Amino acid sequence: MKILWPTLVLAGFGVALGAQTNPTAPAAKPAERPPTQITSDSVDFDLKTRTAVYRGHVRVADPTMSLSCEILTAKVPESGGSFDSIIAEQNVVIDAIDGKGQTNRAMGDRVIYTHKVEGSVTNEVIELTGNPRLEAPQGALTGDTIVWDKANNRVRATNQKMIFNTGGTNQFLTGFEKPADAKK
Amino acid sequence: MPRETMRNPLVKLSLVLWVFASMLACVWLAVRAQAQPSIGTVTDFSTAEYFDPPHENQVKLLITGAEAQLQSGGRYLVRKLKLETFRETGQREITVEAPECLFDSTRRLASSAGHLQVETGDGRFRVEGEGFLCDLRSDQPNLTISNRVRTVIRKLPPTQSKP
Repeated sequence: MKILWPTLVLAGFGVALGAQTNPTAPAAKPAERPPTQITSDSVDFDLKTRTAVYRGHVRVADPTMSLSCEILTAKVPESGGSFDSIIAEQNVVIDAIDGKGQTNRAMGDRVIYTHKVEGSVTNEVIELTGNPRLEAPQGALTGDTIVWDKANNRVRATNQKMIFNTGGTNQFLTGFEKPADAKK
Repeated sequence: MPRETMRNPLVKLSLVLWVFASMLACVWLAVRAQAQPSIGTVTDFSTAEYFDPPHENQVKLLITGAEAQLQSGGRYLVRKLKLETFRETGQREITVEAPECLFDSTRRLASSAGHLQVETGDGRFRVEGEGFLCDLRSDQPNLTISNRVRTVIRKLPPTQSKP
């Protein structure tokens, strides 16, 4: 799971990728990283709110991941720096290749990446809603909501169900790590 | 502005688009200055803006166009528009190219059904598409690219990424 979740950071819709490093590149010989490409039917840049909204057949192609959705919104705070939020909506599918060359997939109707700095604490949270599902060769995770608290490296899921692939038979585990707020 | 902030592509894009908006306003001023209303058209025009001292010999903004036609209602049709901004070092910062652009000086709108390409000088960021509308009103500045939008974000090797 730890392999899968960092790839969701890459789902920072390309714009965040400029700050990422390429873990597979040899350290002694820095090579140019293949570019990240975002294609869509249209885009709106609101210069006042510092928001970019890509609409229609949005595709993000990166060497380590790909993302597709119908609406992609990225917002930068007035002070600049990291994004306040990046939101992918409608039929969001993220495919990411892990270090073993295996493809992991995250799906949902809505994926939200938020970034906040409060004092000296940086919080980064990625939330999947709308029939969210994470798939990896080892198994899958579903739930009403799946939240990755990146700063604390914790994954929470409400009404979660985990499916482990165990050599031809699947084992189901449900409800063993519900967050406290899910019981309210 | 901190360097890390400038490396954020969307921040850079915001800057690019602000510059684009400013440059279009400069095009309008340049065309208005060069074209007599009775003539209506200028060809192969170019205009440059320079930095303040001590870099007064360095071009800050260069605007070129193959043709600019004064039309009714304070509108200008500019063909082969190219706008470039530079740093004090002479390094190219931003390039904007549009084969055709209609600028409405009254409503402060720039638009075209044709191609638009905006690229940073370091090659880190490029956005292009077909058909655009740029609203230059200060209360709601906005750029819409309507069709076949393609954004390329490139991470350069460290040695190249430093200005």
